[in-house]
Amino acid sequence: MIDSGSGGRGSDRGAVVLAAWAAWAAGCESSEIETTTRNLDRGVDVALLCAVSETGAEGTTWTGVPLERCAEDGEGAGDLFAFVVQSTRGEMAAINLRSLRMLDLDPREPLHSPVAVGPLPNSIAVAPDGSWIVVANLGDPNPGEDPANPEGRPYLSVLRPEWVLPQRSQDAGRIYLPAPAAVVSFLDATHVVASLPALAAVTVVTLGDEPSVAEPTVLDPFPLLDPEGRPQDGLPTPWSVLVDPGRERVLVGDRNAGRLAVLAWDDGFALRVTGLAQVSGPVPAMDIEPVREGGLDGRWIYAVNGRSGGVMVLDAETLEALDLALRDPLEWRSELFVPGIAQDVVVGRVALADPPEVPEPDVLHGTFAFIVSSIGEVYVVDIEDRSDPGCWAGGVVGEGEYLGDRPGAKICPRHVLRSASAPPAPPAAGTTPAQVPYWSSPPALMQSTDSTVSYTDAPPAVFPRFRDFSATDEWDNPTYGVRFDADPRRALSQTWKIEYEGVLPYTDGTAGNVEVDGWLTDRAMPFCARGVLAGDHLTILDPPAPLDPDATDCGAFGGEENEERREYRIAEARADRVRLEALSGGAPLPTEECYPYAVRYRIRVSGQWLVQGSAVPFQHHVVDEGGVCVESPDPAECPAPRDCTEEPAGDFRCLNRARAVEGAVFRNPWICFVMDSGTNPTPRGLRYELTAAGGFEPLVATVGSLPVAAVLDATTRTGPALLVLDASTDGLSRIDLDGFEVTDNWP
Amino acid sequence: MCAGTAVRASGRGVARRRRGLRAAAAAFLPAACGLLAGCLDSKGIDPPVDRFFFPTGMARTAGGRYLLVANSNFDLRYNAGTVVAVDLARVDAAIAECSGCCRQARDEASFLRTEATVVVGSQVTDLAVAPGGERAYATVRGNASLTWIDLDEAAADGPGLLTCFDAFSDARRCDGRHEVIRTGDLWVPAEPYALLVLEDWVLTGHVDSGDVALFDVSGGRAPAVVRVLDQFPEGVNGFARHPSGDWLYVVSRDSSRLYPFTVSMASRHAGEGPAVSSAPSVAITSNNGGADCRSLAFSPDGTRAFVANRDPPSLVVFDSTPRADGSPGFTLLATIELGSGPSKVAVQPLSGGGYLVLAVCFNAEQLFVVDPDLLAVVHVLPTGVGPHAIVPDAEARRAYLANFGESTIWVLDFDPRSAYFGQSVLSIGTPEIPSSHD
Repeated sequence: MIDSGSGGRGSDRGAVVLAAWAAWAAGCESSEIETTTRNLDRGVDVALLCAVSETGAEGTTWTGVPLERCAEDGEGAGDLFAFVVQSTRGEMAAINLRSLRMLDLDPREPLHSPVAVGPLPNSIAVAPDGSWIVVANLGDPNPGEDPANPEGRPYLSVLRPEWVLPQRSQDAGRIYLPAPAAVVSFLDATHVVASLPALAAVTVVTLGDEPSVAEPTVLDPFPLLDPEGRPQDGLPTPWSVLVDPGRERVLVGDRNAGRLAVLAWDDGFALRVTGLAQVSGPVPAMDIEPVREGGLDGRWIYAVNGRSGGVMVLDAETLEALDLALRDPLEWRSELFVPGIAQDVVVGRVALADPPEVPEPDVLHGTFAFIVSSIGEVYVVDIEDRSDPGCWAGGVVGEGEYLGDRPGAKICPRHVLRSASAPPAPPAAGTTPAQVPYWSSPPALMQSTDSTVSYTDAPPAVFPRFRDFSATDEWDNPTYGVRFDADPRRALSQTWKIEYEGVLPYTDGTAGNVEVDGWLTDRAMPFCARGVLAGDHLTILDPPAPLDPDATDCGAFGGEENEERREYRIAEARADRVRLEALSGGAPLPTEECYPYAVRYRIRVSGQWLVQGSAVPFQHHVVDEGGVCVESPDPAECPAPRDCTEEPAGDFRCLNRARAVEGAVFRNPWICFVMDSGTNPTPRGLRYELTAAGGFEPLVATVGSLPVAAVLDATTRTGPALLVLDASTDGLSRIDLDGFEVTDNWP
Repeated sequence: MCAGTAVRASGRGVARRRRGLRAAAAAFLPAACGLLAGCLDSKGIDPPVDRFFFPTGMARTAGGRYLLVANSNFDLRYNAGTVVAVDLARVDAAIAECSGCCRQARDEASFLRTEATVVVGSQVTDLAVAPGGERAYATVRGNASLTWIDLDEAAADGPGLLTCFDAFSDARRCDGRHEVIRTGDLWVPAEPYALLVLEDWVLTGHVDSGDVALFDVSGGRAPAVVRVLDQFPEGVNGFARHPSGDWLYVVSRDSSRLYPFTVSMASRHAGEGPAVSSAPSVAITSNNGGADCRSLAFSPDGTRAFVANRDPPSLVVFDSTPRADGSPGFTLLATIELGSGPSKVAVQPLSGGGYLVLAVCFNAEQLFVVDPDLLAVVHVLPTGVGPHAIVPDAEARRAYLANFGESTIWVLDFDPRSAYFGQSVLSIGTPEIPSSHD
């Protein structure tokens, strides 16, 4: 875990490291540039620039203009360019998104030749009016290597678009900094905010003929006291920078600490720290909803959580994170999660020139967030779907409140992953829509002998059965008494196993040490984290092995084949040990004399059914509280619903249950059932298996193997499209948002 | 950069000439021998005692006086490999002589204690020194052995520095007693690749089978195979020990997981040798694929774990703070893109308590330097051909990098006070690039 203390140390170390890089000596020669066949190599960031061309006597010249000039076709419309910085090469490449061609910026060099920026460029930003391109270089130049920079000072690279379009005519300029910059973002056309992690600071750089760098604003120690007048932990390694122009503030996220600094700027573009927000993890990247129609500020901030790998959703007004677990059972965790680690997030408004008449899953028209995952996938998050009039209180898109925040019959998702399937609609009479989740086959009843009986053939009076709430659901799908939520977003396609007295996953121990008074310890087994509770049963699998078999009588424990004799009740479960109780008729408590060596064991629930899903693994709800394993939250605070047809009361997080008791309602975020006892005692190992189909599948596009950044082209001239940069294999990919598929790629 | 670039820029011509000569010799001699069967000694060409040839393993001696280098004889030019000792005092002197940054490559012979060179089997894959400093171990693919070498850093006479034979001879070839290929009926599996040396145990990882052989070396006894663990996937090629205690980890080039386990003689099963307890494996879920882990290293305080993964080329970072009960705790934090073919990762302690992460990329021929606080690459150092083994030397504030493909050892400066921080300040050995490299 990273705490503020370590963050502080990290700041010191970062300063030492970066300062040390700065101490490189004069006279050492520059490194060679490795030439590969790839055009884009270890790209790390991408930005868009709109430029218009003018042809005169000296040929065609290009000038950067505001992005709006590239929005639509027409006289004076510009071409949109994507600029990509490549870390190891220290270069910047350009792609004309209108012609879909990568530019050869330097014809003197072979292949598609980029222009040099600085060492290890990490971030690129374009001025709102298109007049400047700024690149933050995270590396330090070698002292003495460049006569123009003999001291090897770190710098920002700055370029005018006309210096590189259509080809390089002038090298990038440099603005020297007191430390390498990580991320840059424009305040206005000529003022840039840059984070300086080695100094735990941010600064404002003024561009122009006489550039200047403001005195850095140090964020650690934090310059403001808390409301009670005490010093606050600051940002030891400021990293991400988000300019919120409507609120005239800058948010700065840290690479190690879960804190956001809030800064304002004055007329002279001097930064002033105005606040500090606590969030649940470091923020390496973030974005904010753009200004809404009518000039209203965007409300939602999406922030990558550098600790959990998920994405936090913050209310821009309060800077408090929404607890998504309270909003939708699909998100039983407080953040948005995707497979892999969230690398970047982009929030934007997509307005199709020809929006669909009815909502289509892969046609994006509205406000969305795009999450770039480290495993090479991009996911879409619904914020406002403007293709669905039914989601607006006024019945017309944009009129009245968006219904995404309010529960109701109409499902208008907000802050949840967009489904690859159309949202369910009430079925016409006599029809069964394919998109709703359904059981693909009746439950299979696996007897403890592993022989299978079909559910319908199982004698109902003998075997425990799912209580039948209704013969079919609203779509005429048989439920077998196990209910999905009607919303497919709340059900996953997977197999569920419901086993009586099943073995808790990952509790097959191999190194249990028998100690006095029935205690058994195992350093390799975090008992609470594996869901072990008092009342569960532990079976010692090994027969006794006394050091001196002739002197020690261990016959009461049985031999190799008497495993069942060595079953014990766990009287007390702790994080690193359990205390055993002998069962009536079973072996006595194990002794150190009979078990001087480590033993193998397993733990199962007792008198309960263990519920496990294949796509959603075992969701234990046991925590280590003062060393003792307890259920969390307290079951008393989680009233169970009366049956599976009603909304559960209380906090949805109470539903992360893995144990069902006969006669009581079992409900987790995905399924709900009651198991009624049969006439015969339920045998251990009896198991029901149910396979579900038609559940939630998120909308996803595949882009390379290690994507790191994305930018939204919201224009209709070359877009709408999402441009995703893969650092490893695929370079830049263009995802068409009217169909959500990759249409072009520049590797 | 300092020496590295100088070597590559100015040494290329030399390298090509030497490469041409040696490649011709390498090609000619076996062929000639084949034509004239019986004309030459069938035992082949003895390895030189004063050269690097495809170095694969390195280890610093406990007292810090020597850097041991295992020469693998990868192209089988000679009839064996060697372990040589680089005198670090001579390295210090050479660097001081060039005011901290030597631009020209230096011949390795002047840095080696050639009288101490010992001959081992061909294709050594790794080399390590015991924590007490009294012994070195090498995994040798050529004869599927764990070869051990007695090490006397304080030996007054050069030959006594390294010995792996009971009786001195001119050949200085490790004898059978120092090459463990079996203990009783328990054989060392084929293809030893990874090596971990602890106080009481030596572990070898075997890349083909995924077996891990466990050698008992407690009390200074000769290594004896006591158990072969077969629960790991094929492709085992890396070990690491968590700094906080007993947990050991295996990584495999055929797996996207880390495999924690403990070895204990105190809680052994009767008749089964040492007890081995495994905790659930740790998945690398951040990578698309991820099934090619090459190396693992922990931060000095054990709160971070760094995995070199090739699928895609990346450094995967975990929060590895143990749970309250001491069991492994792993939370995925980041995956950082690297150059092609990462092969080794090491942690370079810095004075003042900080550290850097060094990731060697064999194919890209680059050393990536990652700041663990920024979780970002802060420097990329072009290396020689085929960089592989790397050994941080916290005491000397340096790291040693073996360029397998060109048979050189680079000395990298990691003294924050130095003007050459992060640079190669000395190249030991003149680059010699194999003919197949082009």
